[in-house]
Amino acid sequence: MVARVENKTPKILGLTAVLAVTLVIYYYVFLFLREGTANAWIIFAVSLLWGIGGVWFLFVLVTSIIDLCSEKVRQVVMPWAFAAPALFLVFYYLLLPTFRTIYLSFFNQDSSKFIGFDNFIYAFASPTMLESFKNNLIWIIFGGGISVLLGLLIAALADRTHPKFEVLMKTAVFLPMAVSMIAAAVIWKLVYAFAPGTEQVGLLNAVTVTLGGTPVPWLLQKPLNTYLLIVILIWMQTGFALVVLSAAIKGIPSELLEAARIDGASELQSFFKITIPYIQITLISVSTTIVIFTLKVFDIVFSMTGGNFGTQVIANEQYVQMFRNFDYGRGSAIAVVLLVTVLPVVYYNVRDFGKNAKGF
Amino acid sequence: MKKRYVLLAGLAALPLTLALAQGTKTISILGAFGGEEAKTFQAVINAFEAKNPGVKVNYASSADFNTVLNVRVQSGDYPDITALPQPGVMKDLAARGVLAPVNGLTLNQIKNNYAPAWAELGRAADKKIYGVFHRVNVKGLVFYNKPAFEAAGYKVPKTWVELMALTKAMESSKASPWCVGMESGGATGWVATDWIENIMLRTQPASVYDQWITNDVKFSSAAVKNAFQVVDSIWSNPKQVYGGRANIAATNFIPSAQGLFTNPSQCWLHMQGSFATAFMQDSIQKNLDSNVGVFVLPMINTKLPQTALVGGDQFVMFKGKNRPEVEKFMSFLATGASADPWIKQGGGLFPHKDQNLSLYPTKLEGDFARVILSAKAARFDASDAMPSAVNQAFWKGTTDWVTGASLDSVLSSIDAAYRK
Repeated sequence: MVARVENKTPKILGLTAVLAVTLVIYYYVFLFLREGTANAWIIFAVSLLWGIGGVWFLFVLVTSIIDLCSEKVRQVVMPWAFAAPALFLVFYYLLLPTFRTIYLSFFNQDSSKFIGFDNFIYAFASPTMLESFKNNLIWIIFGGGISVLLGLLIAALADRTHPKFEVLMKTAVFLPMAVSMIAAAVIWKLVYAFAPGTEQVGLLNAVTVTLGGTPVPWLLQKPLNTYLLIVILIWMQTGFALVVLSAAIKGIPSELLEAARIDGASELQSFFKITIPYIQITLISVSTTIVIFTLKVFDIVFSMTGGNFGTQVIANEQYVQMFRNFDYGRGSAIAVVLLVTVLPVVYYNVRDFGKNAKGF
Repeated sequence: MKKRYVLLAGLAALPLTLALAQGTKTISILGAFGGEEAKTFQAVINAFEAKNPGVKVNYASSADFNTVLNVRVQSGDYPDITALPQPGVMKDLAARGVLAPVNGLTLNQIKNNYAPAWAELGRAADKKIYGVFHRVNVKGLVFYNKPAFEAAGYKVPKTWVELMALTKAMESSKASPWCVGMESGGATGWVATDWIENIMLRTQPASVYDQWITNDVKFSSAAVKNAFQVVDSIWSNPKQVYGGRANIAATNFIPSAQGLFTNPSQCWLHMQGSFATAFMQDSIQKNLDSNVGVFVLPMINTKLPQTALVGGDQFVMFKGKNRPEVEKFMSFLATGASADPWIKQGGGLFPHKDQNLSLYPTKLEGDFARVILSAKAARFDASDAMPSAVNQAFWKGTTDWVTGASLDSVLSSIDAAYRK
């Protein structure tokens, strides 16, 4: 076959020029939307058109430019063209803010003066932060631990019940996952509500009074209050652990368990020697996910006690410093500390992904 | 290929048409108050728009106002006007050079139509006036259940000594003398700081109060410590406060105001700002004048002149946004004409000298307004005038103190929040 020789360069240049003009126009549309003073319907129409049509047009433009290039160039450039938007977003919304946060953590309140490690001294040595570290540790151990153990226990037991009952039970445990954190806090605030006297709105105090006790302001009881907040997390996260672990348990080949039974293994033995090792990887990802979650716990504390009464946690203290005190230095330093604490767990989690998911 | 160019042309034409579509002049305002209050403020806006056709005023509120405002200022995305509940924030913004001071007509109106105290509260460190006060409130009022109070034969106390004797007598009745509740979510603590501020103004000269805001008088000083101890003598006495001290931090500020009218009533007295009537039960609000009695918390040191503790929103313009229509709106806010639509709807008090006092829907509100107008001296809520970090530490400190932390450690931790 004789290849039709055609000089594609002018076409490429032409389309690149179109691309440049398009980007300039997009910039102005962006400015227009940012101003946001126009009629709401016009803004709505523009964002719809720009958001969907604009992306599509950009995609068509870029792919047609690359299509015109030689095979060699295409192979190298095409994957990047596809990955570019995602990479850009990761860079702009994740990496850039991370580095900026690290940078700001060495500056004073309004980021006007370099003050070295002062903010980190606050982040590691102030009484509030020490209290937060202690509380976060309690959250990880009890919140994370109990959620996973309870999830595992229910998953293993439910596996042995009638399928209909299993579905019912799993649904009931999973349901709180569908509730937002703040809504959960509102619900539990009613559970822990306190009023002096005999008439109680709060469930827990109503029980206490019925049993002949005196009402207790639960959320003020140090150190019990932190554990009471953790109960909310367990209520919400057990469902997550349960569903994932239950799926993993269902994946165990029945031959394995049967073989174990024939060999005379007890139920407990087969649970610890077969089930647990088999679902180990799932168990680790569930645990690390919940640990990361408890490290970052914020909503529950923010809405239940506001970090008062000895229940402060790192994320809430960061919010207070950053958005109430407007202390960008301390807020950033605490964010960096939180990031560094979470990183090993994330690394562990992702490393396992790489090992076990081929082609990842 | 052709189709693509058509599309391109369409995209290019779009911003142009949009630019043409923006003809009317608009003023954007950001504020902290929403819901019912924003609706009432709309009546004020309507009055302005009726006088100034062609100008549209958009008011937007945020429950997390301070955060939103701060983020917008950081990114240079200013509204035209903002309503600041905290003078500390106004001073902070003025120092950062992002505000435009009021000039000409508005400045004259502030001087003529307000008591000098209000002009001072709107003044920043550079001696320029930035803020126009609109809706305000007065704190340090003691509310009581009027029919029950009169039926029990109690008399309104005129002095601190009489007040203490009255509460002592109330101890033997079925209800406690005071209802106090300070739980308020992320803002827990403001009820306690209001109490401390009121006692400060009743035990110390206003000059000490001013120095306290700037930390020239420390929290750990005898003057401030004494104020905490006065509050403590009431709050820590289980006979004086409904439910005792433990109940104070656990009770939300709204139900604590309702304690006066529960059946049986929980308490006789409740100290709060003029806005507390909005927290009371609907049935009480329907007929405030016959249900609610009020007196100003008496002076403790009777040699001092009575100084009112006030709060309120001041409107400020942003730099570069002081277009003629924006200036016009600011000067409108300084006139009684902007107060009257809100007065009629109720729920707001105003410092304007030319406001129409007869418009207040209840006698009670008229009385509050007279307290504000007649006050010889006024001081703003101190915690709101302190730097935000100190305000936070003050809130948290009083909360810790009420739940058992030692007074000395709390006071020194608040002092530590002043840095530099």
